[in-house]
Amino acid sequence: MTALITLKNLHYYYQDGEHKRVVLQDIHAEFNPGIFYTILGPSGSGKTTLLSLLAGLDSPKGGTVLYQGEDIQRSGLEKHRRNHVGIVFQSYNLIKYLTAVENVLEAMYITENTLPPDKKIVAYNLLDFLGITREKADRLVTKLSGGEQQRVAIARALSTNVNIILADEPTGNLNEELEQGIIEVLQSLAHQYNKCVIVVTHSDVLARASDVCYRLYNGRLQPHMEAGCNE
Amino acid sequence: MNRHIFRRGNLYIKRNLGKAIALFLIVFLLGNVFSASLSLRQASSQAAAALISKFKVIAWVESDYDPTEFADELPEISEAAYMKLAALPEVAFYDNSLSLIPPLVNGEDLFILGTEHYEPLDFYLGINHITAGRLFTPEEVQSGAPYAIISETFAKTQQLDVGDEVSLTYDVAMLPQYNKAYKDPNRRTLAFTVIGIFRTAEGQISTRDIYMPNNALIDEILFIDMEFSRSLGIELTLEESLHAINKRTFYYALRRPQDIRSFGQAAAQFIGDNFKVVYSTDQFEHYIGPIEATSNLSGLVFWLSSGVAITVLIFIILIFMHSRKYEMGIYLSLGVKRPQLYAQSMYEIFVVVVTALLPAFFTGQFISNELVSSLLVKLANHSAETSFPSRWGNLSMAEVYSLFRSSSTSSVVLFYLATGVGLSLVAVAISLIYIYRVNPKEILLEEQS
Repeated sequence: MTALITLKNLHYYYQDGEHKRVVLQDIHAEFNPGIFYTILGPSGSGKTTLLSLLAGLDSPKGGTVLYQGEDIQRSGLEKHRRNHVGIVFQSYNLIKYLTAVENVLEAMYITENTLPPDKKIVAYNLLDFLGITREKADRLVTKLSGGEQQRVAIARALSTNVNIILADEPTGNLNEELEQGIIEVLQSLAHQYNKCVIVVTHSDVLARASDVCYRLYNGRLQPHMEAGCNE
Repeated sequence: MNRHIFRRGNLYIKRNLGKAIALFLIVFLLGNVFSASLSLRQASSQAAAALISKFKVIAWVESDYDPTEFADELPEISEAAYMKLAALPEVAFYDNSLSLIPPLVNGEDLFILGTEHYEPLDFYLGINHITAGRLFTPEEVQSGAPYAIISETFAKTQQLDVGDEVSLTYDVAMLPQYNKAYKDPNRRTLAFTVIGIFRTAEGQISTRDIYMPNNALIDEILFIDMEFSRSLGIELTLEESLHAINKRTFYYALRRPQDIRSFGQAAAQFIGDNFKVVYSTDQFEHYIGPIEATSNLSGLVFWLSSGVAITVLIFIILIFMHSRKYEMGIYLSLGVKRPQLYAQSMYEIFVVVVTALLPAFFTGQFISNELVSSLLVKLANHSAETSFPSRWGNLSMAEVYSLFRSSSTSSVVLFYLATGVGLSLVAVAISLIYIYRVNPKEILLEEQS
């Protein structure tokens, strides 16, 4: 059976003058729906680069990223971002002059995936599901707390009905209590809504909560614990 | 086109009103400079061209010697030489008017101007025009028929109309002013038939009351001249009086302003070294000077302001777009199609720029009109200082003003808007190159770090 997303012989390096700094080499991996993945690694190990390749925000220097067996480079990176992945960043990356619900709606307007006709109700419900009340949903995102903004970012990632949720240090700016709330949301996305959740993080707490944990070391992706990080 | 482009664009403008207003104000200011200089340039160049085309060139001969260098007799030009100038092909017609200012018995003064031409010079120049009756015929002028074209004012005060026969009785009354001993002024009667009534054009000044053929006036003038000399104790012969009368100034109306050079070259061989040809355009140069200076200055301002406008506009729009780099990155990370981002950016800039350019056009026009008004005040003052321009031009100040006013045509509006919108599109196009190069990963990671 074809994996949801497959990395084949992935290479990436940064050109620094004449010096080539390799961050990813010979990466092979498969990611499937219903599983919560974490990728651990020290700063500068290439975690975010790997996530950006999965998200179609950048192109690999070698190898391919396949979505349901199709090279995303060929099918189009914009299309991949629009229809296949939802991305949650550490710094939320919300549009500041829009309200919470408008931020969610923007993603729903952009995707070509089939969505319920009344998008606004769906957006409010999603936000409500993530603990953002109607009153807060109508506030500008800059008027929300960090935890609330992260929830809005998750709601936006979910709103387009994509199969893959990618998150880069989603709890990096949050306290322990808020971190736990986000972890529960990510777990439920994988287990209840059958999403493929891939999170790159420093957080051991987050890693322990995941089903499968990888470690990025010396540019290579290695299983961190065979049976998941939470065992 | 995707409706979300307009929705996002409108939402951006609405939620970032401060930035939009800042851009609006900058474009509004640039638009004012552009509109004013464009309008002024168009107006002044058109007015200058119209003035030149409408201005009639009159030439006459003046002495060009130091009288102290001639002990006995001053140099003169013969009537034959004057007539040779009149026969030159550049001359549309000439006139050498006698003039008579007979003091009427009721104490009023009249200015009667003679003419050698069926259409007196003032009529040719458009200073006066016939409102009733007609001009002279060449035969009437030649024969010295006792016909007159009178002013509306004179006709009104004397209750005269076309066809009336008039007998003006006047004193040779200036004589007692010069000689108190002269106590018995001769009384004369000048008889003529009114064949036309004229009105002086608006904004023009005419001191003439009556036009008559020179040959109809010559007997009267000879009589007055001899009587005046006699009052001073000088007995003039008829020949001497005729000689004095013939020292009139001949005015030559040239066909076109371009004829000045060839007429001057041809005239030089008839008038000799002691005389020079003077042109009404010599004064016209002073008259047109401020207009042409304004035209040149506004041309310079136009190109400078256009250059500055392009530079500032592009610079401002690039700053405007740069401030949205992060937002662009977010949209790109969400998978928005780049052409939609281009269209949204163009739409936003277009809305703000056009909203700013439209009122700026009218305020710029207002500024331009104020400048024109101040220019015309200067011209009017200049005109008052030099009598020739209003004497020789056939354009009133009101007409000059209308030339400026009428130049704000729809073509100017279209040119302004097309240029303004064109500039903004160039600026947007340049900023789109920037968007094209936006890498969402770099932007978002840059923000994250």
